[in-house]
Amino acid sequence: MNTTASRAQVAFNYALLTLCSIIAIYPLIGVALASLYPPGPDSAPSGFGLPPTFAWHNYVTAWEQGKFATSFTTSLIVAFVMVPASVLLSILGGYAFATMRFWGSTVLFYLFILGLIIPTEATIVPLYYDVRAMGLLDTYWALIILEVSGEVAFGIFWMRAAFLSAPPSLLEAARIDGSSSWTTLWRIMAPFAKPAILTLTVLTFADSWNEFFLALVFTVNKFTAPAGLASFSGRYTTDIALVSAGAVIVAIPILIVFIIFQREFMRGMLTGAVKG
Amino acid sequence: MAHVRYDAVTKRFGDVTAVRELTLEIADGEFVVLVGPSGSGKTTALRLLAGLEVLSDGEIRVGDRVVNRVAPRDRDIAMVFQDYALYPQMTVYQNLAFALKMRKMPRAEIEQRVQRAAEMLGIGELLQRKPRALSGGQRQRVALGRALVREPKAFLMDEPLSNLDAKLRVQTRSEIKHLQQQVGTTTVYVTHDQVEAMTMGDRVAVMNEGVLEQVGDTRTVYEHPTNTFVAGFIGSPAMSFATLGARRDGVEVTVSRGDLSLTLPGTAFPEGVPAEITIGVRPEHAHLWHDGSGLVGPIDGRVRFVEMLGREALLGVSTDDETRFTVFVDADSPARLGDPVRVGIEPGRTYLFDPHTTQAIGTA
Amino acid sequence: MDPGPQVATRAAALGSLRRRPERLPGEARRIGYLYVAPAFILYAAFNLLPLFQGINISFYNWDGITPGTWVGLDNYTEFFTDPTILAGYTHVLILMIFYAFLPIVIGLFLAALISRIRIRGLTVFRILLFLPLVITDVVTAVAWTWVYDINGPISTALRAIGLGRLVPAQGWLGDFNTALPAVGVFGLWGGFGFCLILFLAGVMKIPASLYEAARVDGANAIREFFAVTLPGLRYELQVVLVLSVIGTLDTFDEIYVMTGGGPGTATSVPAYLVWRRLFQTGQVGSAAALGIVLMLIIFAVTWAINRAMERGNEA
Repeated sequence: MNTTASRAQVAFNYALLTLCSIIAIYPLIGVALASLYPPGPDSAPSGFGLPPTFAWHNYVTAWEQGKFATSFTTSLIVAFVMVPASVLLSILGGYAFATMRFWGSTVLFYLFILGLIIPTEATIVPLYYDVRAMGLLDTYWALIILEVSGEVAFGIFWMRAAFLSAPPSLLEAARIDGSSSWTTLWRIMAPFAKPAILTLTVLTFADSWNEFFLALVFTVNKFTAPAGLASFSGRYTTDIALVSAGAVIVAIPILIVFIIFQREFMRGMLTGAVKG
Repeated sequence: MAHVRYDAVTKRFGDVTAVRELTLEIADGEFVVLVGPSGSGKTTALRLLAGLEVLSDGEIRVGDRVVNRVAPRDRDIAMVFQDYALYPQMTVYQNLAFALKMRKMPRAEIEQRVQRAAEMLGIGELLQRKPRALSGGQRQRVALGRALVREPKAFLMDEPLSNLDAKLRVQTRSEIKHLQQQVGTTTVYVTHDQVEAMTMGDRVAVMNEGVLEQVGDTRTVYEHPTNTFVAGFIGSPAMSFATLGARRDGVEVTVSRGDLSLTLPGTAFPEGVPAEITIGVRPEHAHLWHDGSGLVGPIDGRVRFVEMLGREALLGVSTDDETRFTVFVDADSPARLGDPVRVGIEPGRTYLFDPHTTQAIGTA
Repeated sequence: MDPGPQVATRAAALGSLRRRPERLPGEARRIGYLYVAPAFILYAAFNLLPLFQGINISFYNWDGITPGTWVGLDNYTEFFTDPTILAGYTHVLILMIFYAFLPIVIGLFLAALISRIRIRGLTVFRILLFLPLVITDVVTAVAWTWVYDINGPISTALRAIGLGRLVPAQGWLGDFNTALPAVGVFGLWGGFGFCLILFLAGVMKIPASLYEAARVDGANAIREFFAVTLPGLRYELQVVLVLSVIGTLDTFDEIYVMTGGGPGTATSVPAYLVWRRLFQTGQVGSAAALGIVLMLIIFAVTWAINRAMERGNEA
């Protein structure tokens, strides 16, 4: 990295990054402002001015009309069951693949890797009928089970990589000390991989909160926040202010999580998934 | 405490044989050092004893028990790793206590053992700290402590000093040795540093490419190496070698190549004089020539390098046909780079080796 | 029980004959299955099994209610005959320009422009630039629906500079010509920030000595880019390419929210077609086939990209 920098270079860097950042957040800021315009089809937020009055009441209306209490509850219930389950299963599986040699482990692992590239669309049709046959349509469990089974492929890949990065001597010392595989996992390897586990948890939560397609297919009354927003915006297409308020409402939880855990998000998204 | 025995132990990794029919007996309470260059199989031999690798052939015994198929945790051995392998999220106390907890030892006894080990190693104040808050030397002690508290039949140490800086290394060397004498536990110690081996080991086992070249106490290995490898590996600076032609000259034998010619007593060749011989000379047995000094020589050459060591200096001497010798001289000797110089060897200190089998024949 | 050395030798030889990885004493082995089981059972039941069920369904003409009729590969040959399916894939191909190609190019270009010096406050920029990708895409799609509104910022801005006639009467998302590019721009906006940050991070990792060597060799900025920067970003490029291309093939959420596949079928995409055929037109067998084919195409594309990049690496 060069350290000799002219003032012009530094200024240019900041200017370019600022410009890009503005482009990135403009639609979001704009829609936040639009949400404060008076409700109804006549208000036309142009994105270049401030609303005539700050209609904070829009948020109350949107919350009620959009049934966000229901959808937030659903989203949270699903997330709070799905995330720990998915992360736990990923830790167990990743640990086995990273530290144990058993017959067929390579094949099994590659089967999971396959899951990284199988799109939801390939399985959604039979899944719909399977779930219906199990009587789980429009339940929290449908979403929970489907999201977990979808996430474990990545989760196992991620945790295996994290456990593989531990020095082999650590595992050997544990073996000599007489630690069982269970003890070694929870007293040595999991603490060692805490950052990776946190990253996985955060990413899994984001995936769950943002999940739309599954909610659309499998739920009617127990819809999640994004599905609630989509239906809300479909019903109130001409009321831009109200729909914008709904959008902001749904954005806030994930925004907060992102700001708090931005380091984990970056780590997870930038390290990326190497396929094949 | 118990003796350890390797019986024709062989370890193959695919096509590569890392350890070849190693047979070695380590007595109860003995400190044996496995020494050799990288790839010599010393670490593999240690790991076989620990149970971290499985034997291809042969038997390993701890005490009187064959442990080939026994899990590491049940072999009653403790290991000190090169990178210490301390559990990063546990305190020093927990690190030391871990193995004992795994064996369901009562808390009072764990406490006792940990405190005792901590005292012996001087880490009593560090017990509540985590490894990342410790210096390299402190971590090394904790690693030793972990082995101590186990009170095992044998200590296995895999180059425990190599991550320390030179000064700390020398200091810790004697501390480990002293510690071992205190507790009297059989110890198998692996290192690539022959100085470490010579200063610490009751006996030294020199390994090369999977084969045990020689095992013996330090004096024997140093003064009576069995082949050129051991002769050249043990001792620093290393022995100089030269392969020369030999022929009998009455009661004496002349070995020569080019301008270099030495006269050795015929008694050194009881089995007859071979056509070729490899001679070896340790630097401390080579001196600058004076007439009438009784040295074997003279060897004519030029100074190739001068290394100041403080009180002494090391001279590298090359003869016309590039035979090289290393010579110890006084620091204030006037020899300089490029100077012509004459060298002589102390009588009886010329090692003789068969140039084909590399085995030692004798000394002259 | 100690087998003598002979038995041990024979056992070892037999072992290597059978090519099993040699068993370390006390090593955890079979228990590995137990650890993997919970994840695998769920995964197999809800990811692998449905795959085979889907293949089965794809051979039928089925409306989801009455019993289906076997049609063999008809649902697959439809690909060559049904214009909506072809249109769907054509659309994602076009979208790939906006979702994959352009963000990568722009990200590369911008990353190359930014001098390789420490940028303080990079965290803030990273947060802002990542937001488009992190925020639920239903939310960002709703936001862009407003952006494309006839009275929204784009239209207002154009009118302000006198280009009001460019604004389509049915709105940007309702006009046959502008709908798909409009969705494309949405995708471009979503991806460019991520690409920029990713490439910036990658550029920072390139050793300064490579740039210095290039400079000494007399390379100008453009040469430097192609000789040092681009090769140095090989790995990041590969990952982003695969992720973004596959992501485009999968696109659903924003189509549903912004255009509903319309106007007409101007913005339909394979994933949307699957949904429509499953829930609206009662073409369940066809939907299943569409899903399977989409998966095969994703496999093929992933393999092709990785292969091409590996070849490039060897070059």
